[in-house]
Amino acid sequence: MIDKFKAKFVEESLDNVNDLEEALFALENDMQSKELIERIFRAMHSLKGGGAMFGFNHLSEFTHHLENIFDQIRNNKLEVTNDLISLTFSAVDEIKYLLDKGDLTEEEDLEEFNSLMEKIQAFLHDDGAPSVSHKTSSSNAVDDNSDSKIYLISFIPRENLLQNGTNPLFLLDDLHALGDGHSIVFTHKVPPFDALVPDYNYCFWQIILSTSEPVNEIKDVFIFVEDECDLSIEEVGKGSFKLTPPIEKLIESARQANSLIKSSELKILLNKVDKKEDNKSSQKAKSGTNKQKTQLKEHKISSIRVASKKIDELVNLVSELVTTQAQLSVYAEKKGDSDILTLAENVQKLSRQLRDNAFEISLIPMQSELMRFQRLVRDLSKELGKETEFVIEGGDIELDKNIIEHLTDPLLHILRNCVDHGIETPEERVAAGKSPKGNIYFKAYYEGANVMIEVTDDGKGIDVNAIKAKAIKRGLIHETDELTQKEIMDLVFTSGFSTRDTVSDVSGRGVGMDVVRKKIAEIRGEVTIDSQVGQGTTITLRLPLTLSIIDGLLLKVGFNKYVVPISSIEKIYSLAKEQLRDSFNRVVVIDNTQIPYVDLRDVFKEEKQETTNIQMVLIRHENKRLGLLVDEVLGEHQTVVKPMGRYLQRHEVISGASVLGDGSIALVVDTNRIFQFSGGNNSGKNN
Amino acid sequence: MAGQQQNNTLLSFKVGEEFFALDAMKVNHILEVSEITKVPNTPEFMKGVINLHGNIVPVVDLRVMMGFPDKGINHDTAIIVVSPDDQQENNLGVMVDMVKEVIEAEGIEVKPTVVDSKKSRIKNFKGTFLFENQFIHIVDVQELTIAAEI
Repeated sequence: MIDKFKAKFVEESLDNVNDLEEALFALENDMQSKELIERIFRAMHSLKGGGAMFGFNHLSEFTHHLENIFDQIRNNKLEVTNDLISLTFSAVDEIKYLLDKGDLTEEEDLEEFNSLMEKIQAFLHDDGAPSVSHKTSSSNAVDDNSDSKIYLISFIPRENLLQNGTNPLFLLDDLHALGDGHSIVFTHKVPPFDALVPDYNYCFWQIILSTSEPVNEIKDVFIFVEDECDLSIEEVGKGSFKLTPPIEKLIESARQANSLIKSSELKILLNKVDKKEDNKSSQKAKSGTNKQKTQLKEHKISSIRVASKKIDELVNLVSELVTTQAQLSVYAEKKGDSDILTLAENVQKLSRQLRDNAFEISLIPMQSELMRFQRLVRDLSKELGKETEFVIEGGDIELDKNIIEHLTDPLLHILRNCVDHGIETPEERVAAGKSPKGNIYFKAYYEGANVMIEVTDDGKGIDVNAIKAKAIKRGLIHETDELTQKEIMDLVFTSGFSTRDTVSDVSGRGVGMDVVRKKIAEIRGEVTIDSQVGQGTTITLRLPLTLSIIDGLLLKVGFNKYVVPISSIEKIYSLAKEQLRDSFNRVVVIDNTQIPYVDLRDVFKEEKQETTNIQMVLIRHENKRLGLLVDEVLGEHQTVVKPMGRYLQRHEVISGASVLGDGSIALVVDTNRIFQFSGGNNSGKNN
Repeated sequence: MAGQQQNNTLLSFKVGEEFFALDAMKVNHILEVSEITKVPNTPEFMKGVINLHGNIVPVVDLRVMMGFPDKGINHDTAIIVVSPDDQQENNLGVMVDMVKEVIEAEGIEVKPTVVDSKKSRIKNFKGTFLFENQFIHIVDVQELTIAAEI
C-alpha cells in the first residue's frame, strides 16, 4: 500500500520539479520576479514535506536547505544571481536523481550529494545571513481576529499593468474571495477610441471589502503588482459591509465626480450602521467567506490523473469495437433486415463518436517534453560557450502519447545539432554581422491531419558543397552525379554521414541524422531539412496525429489484400501495357515525365495475370515518387492498424495488419520501406 | 538440457510420426485451421497471420520448422496458440499434425533429448519422457518463439 502512495508521490513530485525548472528558466530572465521566487519556494516546500512523509530523507533534507535559500530571497535577505540559478539547476538534477533512487546508499552518490549540500550551505552563510531554523511557510493563515473589518482599498494601476500579463479583474476576484465587498470602477480616464492603446490599462478601482482575514492577506493579493500600481488599504470600520442607501449615494456621487471615495466619509457612514445587526451579519459574512473559499478550491479539479496503461486499454477496446461494428454492418447489409440495418447504423454512429473521444483522451500536449528541450539547449549552450535564445511556439499542440514518446529522442538530437553545429560562438556571430545571441525557434502547428514541427536556427547553416564533397569521399554518391540542392541536403540523413570531422562529446555519438529519420519513420512521420549558408537551418517534421487509425486504400495483389495509407498516395492510374518500360530502368511515362515503378506482384512473388489494363497507384515519399502496379484497386478503407507482433516486426515492407469487415485480414504496406526496398532512384541507398 | 524441475501439466501433440509436448499453462487456444492470410516474403515455416478475436496472430508450421515433410492440412491439423508471457504481441500460432492430450507429468522421469540439430530450427528441448509406451519430447516455448522470429 505504502508503495502505491510512494509512487504517487514520485509522480507528483516530478510535476513539481517540472514546475520548478520552468520557474527557474523564467527567473533567469527576470531575477527580480517575486512571483517566480514564490513559485520556486512553494515547489520546494511541497517536495520537502512529501519527501519527509514518504521516507525520502535525503530529498527532504536537501530541499530543506534549498528552501531556506529561497526563503531568504523571498525576504530580501539574499539576491538572485547567476551562480545561484546554476546551483539550483544542478540541485534540481539531484532532486530528480533522489526521486528516482530514494535514499542514497552508494558511496559515490553520497559524496556528490554532500558536496552539493555544502555548496548550498555555503550560499546560505556567504552572505552572513542567519540561517533560518524555523519555517515561515503558511502559518500566517491563522485568524488572529474572528471579527471582520471593513477596508477601503484604492487600487490605481499604472498604464503598463497589462503588459506583464496581470489581469486586474483576477485580482478583484481574489479580493472578493476574502469576503463580501463592493467594487467601484472608474473609467473616466479611458481615452476616445482613436487614442486608445490596446494593451494599456486605463481603469482603476476602489473596493469596499469586509473580511475577517488580516490586512496582510489583502496586501498579498497585490503582491505581484505592487510596483505597477498605487495601492492604499485603509481600515474604515468594523463588522460586515452592507450596501445602504447613503453609501450607495456616496458611491454614485464619487463616480459622477470622477473622484475617489474618501475614507473619512465612508467611515462616518459605516459607523451609523446598526450595531445590533453587526454581530449577526459578521457571522454570516464569515461562513460566506469560507464557502467562497471552498468553492474556489473545488473549481480547480478540472482534470484527473489516469494511468496511461488504462488509456491504452481503452483505445484497444475501442479499436476492437470499431472492427466488430464493421463486421456487424457487413452482416446487416447481407441480411437486408431493415431493423438490424438501423441498429447497425446507430452502433456505427456511436462507436465512431466513442472512437474519436477515446483517441482524444490519448492525446497529450507536447508541453510536458518541452522542458527537457529547454534544459538541453540551455545547458549545452553554457557548456559550449554559446548564447542561445530558445523560443517555443505551439507547445499546447496535442499528439498521441505514443508519438510523443517516440519523438523525444529525435528532437533532442536535432536540438543538440542546432546548438553544437548550427549556432556559432558569440565572436563568430559578431564577425558575421549577427547578434551575439543565437536563436532557435521551435514551432509546432496543425496541418490537415498532420502535426508539423519546425526547428529553425539562425546559425551558420549547411554548406551544400561541403556535404557533396563529403558524400563523394564516403562513396555515398559519385562525383559525376548531378544532384539538386534538395537531394544533396537529403544526404545528411544517410547513415555514416556526419559533417564534422571530429566526433564531439555533444553530437555525433554514433547517432546521426539517419537515426532521426528512421525513428520518425517508425511513427509514420517524415523529416526534411532546408538550409541557407550563413543564415541557418530548418528541420521540419511531419507527423500523423494518431498511430492507430489510418485512412487507407485497399488493394488486391494475388490472393491477398493490402492497405496503403491514403496520405502517401498521389494518384491512381489505369495504364496500357505499352506505357511501361522495362529495360535498364523501369519507368512509366506519364505527362511527359518518367516515373519509376515496381510491380507489387514481383515484390510479393505472386503470379501475374496478363491483362491489357494495369492499375497503378502512385505514391509519394518526400519528393520522390514511385508507381506500384497492383492487380486491383478495391477502394477506400478506414482502418485500425494492428501491430504484426514480435515475430513479423522485422518484415521488409509490411508494417501492420488490419481486420476487414468480413473478418479477413489486409496487410498494411509501409510506403517508406517500399521506397527503400525498390532502391531504384534512391540516391542515398546503402543499407 | 535435462529438465530437472518439470512443468506439471503438458499438452502433447503429434508432428510427423513423433510426439511432442509443451507447457499447457502457456497454451491460450487450440484452433482448427481456418483461413490464414499469407504474408509475402517470409520464410517457408511462416504460414501467415490469422484473425483471433480481432488480434493478429502469426502462425508457424512446426512441421516445416522441424524439418518434417509437409503433409498438407487434414481434419486433424490444428493450431496451438501459445502465449509465452501474456503479451498479446508475443502470441504465436503453432501448426501441428494433431493435438493429443493433456498429461499430468508430476513424478515422471525426464531424460535429455537426443536431437539431430541439422534438420530442425528448434535445437533445444527440455527433455524427453516415456508415457504410455511413447517417447514424448518437451518443447521449450521460449526456444520455439525465438526460432519463430523472421
